Amino acid sequence: METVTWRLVWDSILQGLFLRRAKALTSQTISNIFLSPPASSLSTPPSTPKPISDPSPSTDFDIVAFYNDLINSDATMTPPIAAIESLISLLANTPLTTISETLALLSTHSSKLLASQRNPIPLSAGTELFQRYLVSSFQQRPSSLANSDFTTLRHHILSNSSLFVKRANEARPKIAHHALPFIKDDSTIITYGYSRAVQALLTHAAECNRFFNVIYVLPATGLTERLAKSIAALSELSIPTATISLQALTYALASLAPSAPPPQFIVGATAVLENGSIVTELGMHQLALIAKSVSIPLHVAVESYKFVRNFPLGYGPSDLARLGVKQDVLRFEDGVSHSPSSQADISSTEGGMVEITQPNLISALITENGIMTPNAVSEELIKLWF
Amino acid sequence: MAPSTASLTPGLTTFQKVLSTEPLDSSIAFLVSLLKRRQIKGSKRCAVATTLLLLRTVELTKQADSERLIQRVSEVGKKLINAAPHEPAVGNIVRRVLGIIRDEDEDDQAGTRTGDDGTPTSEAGSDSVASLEQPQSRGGMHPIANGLSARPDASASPSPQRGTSRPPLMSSHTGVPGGPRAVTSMFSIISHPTMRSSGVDSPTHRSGSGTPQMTASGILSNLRPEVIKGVKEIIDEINAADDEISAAALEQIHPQETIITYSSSLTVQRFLLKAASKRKFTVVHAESYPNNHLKTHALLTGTHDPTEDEDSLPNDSFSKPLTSAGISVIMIPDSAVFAVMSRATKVVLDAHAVLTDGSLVAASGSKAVIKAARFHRVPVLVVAPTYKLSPSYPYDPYKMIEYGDAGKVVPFQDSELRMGVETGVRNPLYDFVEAGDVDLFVTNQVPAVVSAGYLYRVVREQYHDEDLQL
Repeated sequence: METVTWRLVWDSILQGLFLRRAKALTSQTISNIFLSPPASSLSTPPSTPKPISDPSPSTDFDIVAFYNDLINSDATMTPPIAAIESLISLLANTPLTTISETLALLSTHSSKLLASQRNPIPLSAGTELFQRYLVSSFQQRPSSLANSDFTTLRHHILSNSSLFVKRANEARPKIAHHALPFIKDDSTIITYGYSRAVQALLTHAAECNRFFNVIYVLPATGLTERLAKSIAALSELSIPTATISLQALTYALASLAPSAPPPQFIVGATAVLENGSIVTELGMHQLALIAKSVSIPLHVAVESYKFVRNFPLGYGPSDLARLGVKQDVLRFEDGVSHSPSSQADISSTEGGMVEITQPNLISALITENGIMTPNAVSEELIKLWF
Repeated sequence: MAPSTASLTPGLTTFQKVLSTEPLDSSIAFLVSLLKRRQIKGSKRCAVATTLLLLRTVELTKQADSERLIQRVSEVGKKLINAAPHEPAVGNIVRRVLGIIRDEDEDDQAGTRTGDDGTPTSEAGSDSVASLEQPQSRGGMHPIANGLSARPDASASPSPQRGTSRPPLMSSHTGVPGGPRAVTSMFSIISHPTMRSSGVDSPTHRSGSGTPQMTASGILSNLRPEVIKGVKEIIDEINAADDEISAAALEQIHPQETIITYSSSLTVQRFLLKAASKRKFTVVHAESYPNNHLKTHALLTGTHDPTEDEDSLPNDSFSKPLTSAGISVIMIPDSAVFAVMSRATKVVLDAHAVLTDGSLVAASGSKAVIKAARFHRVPVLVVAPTYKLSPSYPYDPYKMIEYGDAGKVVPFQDSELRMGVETGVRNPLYDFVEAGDVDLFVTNQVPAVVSAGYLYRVVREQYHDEDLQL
């Protein structure tokens, strides 16, 4: 009988995978555990010292590959949602028995996923949101599951997680709905960069029989495949679309008919930081400065799951680096070893780069929860986290 | 316009008479026509008229469960809003009343759930309460109608009244975020319906409420008196707003300052008077030609004649000129605003409506004043009672601007000039000032002084999210 209990304790230790701890246990501490098993379970807190080796359950699930597959296969998938989907399938593919195990697994794999990306900000929005969601669903699980074992709880959470993704995907139609009053007949909308939210709202407005023109500002890196597709989609809806390059913007603005309704910028963002500044692809800051100087409103269509709980102290490269973005625009060359960088060179280096646009250049954020000023972002985040 | 016709044209007083004698439907029609004909205009009057009509609506609605009340109030509210799209105050009051009904409904449900603080009053008992309430409430309207004569009742003690009326409103506001508001927040993503419906979502909000929402709306018979009480509080709030706003004056206005103000506003006047009780400063008053200069002159000289328009609200009939409080007042034409601005230390303005993003609709010419202040880096302070805080977003700001009598710009007698500019004469009554140029808003809501960036919070706390779209 004694050996059976011993085995049970050993098993539970193994399952918790506190291997280092288990190794450290001498025979006399094991006998301590014998005497007081509840004390041992208390002394293995979920906040294990930060991993040097991997303390979370080992799994052969490759989250980075899964994420990349997801992003490449589905064009409607945004990085935060893809990150959440990856975490969900990680949970589904890993046998888990305790809550702390689950949380440890999620946090290690989230950081693994974030470290693999050049711009981890949008992903971190998703991973943090999902971890927060898990904690809150553990805390307030339905009473029917309060006393059941972990397997049912895990099943419950997995089945609800898909709902979570579904809800997040419903955000874009809502944004389109909220944005409709912004789009007046005969007005001009200037947009920049690839954004699913902007695409959705323009489509919605066209379907609601609004007549408007779109100016697509192309980045210096040229037309990507995704951009070309969305421009083609606009012309399919018979929305008059003009494409101009970034350097033609001020001239194009001056060419708009003065009698027409005032133009506006509507752009998307990959993430929104806590002070209301947005993270977008390179060029947006210039665009926003131009918009401000000619007093054209700049609206940002963004789903609220892209809000990141991270307060930048400035808007420069060092702040981006602090957020984990790895990029470098300036590379001085002496001209001996290389010829001056060609167009192809620029597009390959600056392609995926991002920058921060500060909140005082933004007129309003159009989210699925309504129109908000950049100031309101921090409050939305507080509502989410506390 | 002509003083002789003023007494003949119907206005707020006539409306109050109609309201107390005629059936509800004809009072609604009457107010709609008054609003359409601009015979009731100005945020405060519109707010008062709307509140009175909605109060009557709540009193007269049969079978006063929350659903029915909400439906009825929004029906009437929509009619009024459509009649006066240029007066956001109407919509604001409608939303406030709807908010009160929703709050009371929520409190009721919470009450019946947690225990029986709502149940002791039986069906019959509460009915009699309601019927008692009606004549009383009609009496409650008169203070506004009769002005000073009946005032002691309403204004005997503005500060205690403030103390008593504020807390229930605040508690109802703070109760909101845990309720339906949470659904529209971002939290909706991370909470799933199984949790919500099982009632575990708000353990802090309603402690120990295990029973699900069993309360049928039919048994909420004590809703009506509570709602009526709430609506009356709105009236008190509107009347006390100026005084409450002026309470912040001493912190904002310092000795030896030069304050620029524009157009005639009693709220600003009271604000400055309050500051004048302790401080010595200079006021530079721009007259706001052509729409408001006569009123401005009257305000400055103290010759504001209350009999001139019989509609003056009780608090409005009396105003002391600033000079009598020992303030040196300099009146300047509008054209001199920019020149004088360099001397100013502060600009205090009134608004017609303040929108959620911090933009405002104000007397025409205000934009010039604000832009001049921005140019000289002079802080701008806007006084905004809560009934002027509108939750709408300025999608089309130019629609909010109303045009007035073009004859004030170029007199109709001046045929030569009129022929010359045949179609070119316009007299906008309001300016739309986009967000970002106003530094502070002073409201009669609890934070009192808010920076423009956080105005959205004050506005949001005023209304329920369900009512934002009417």
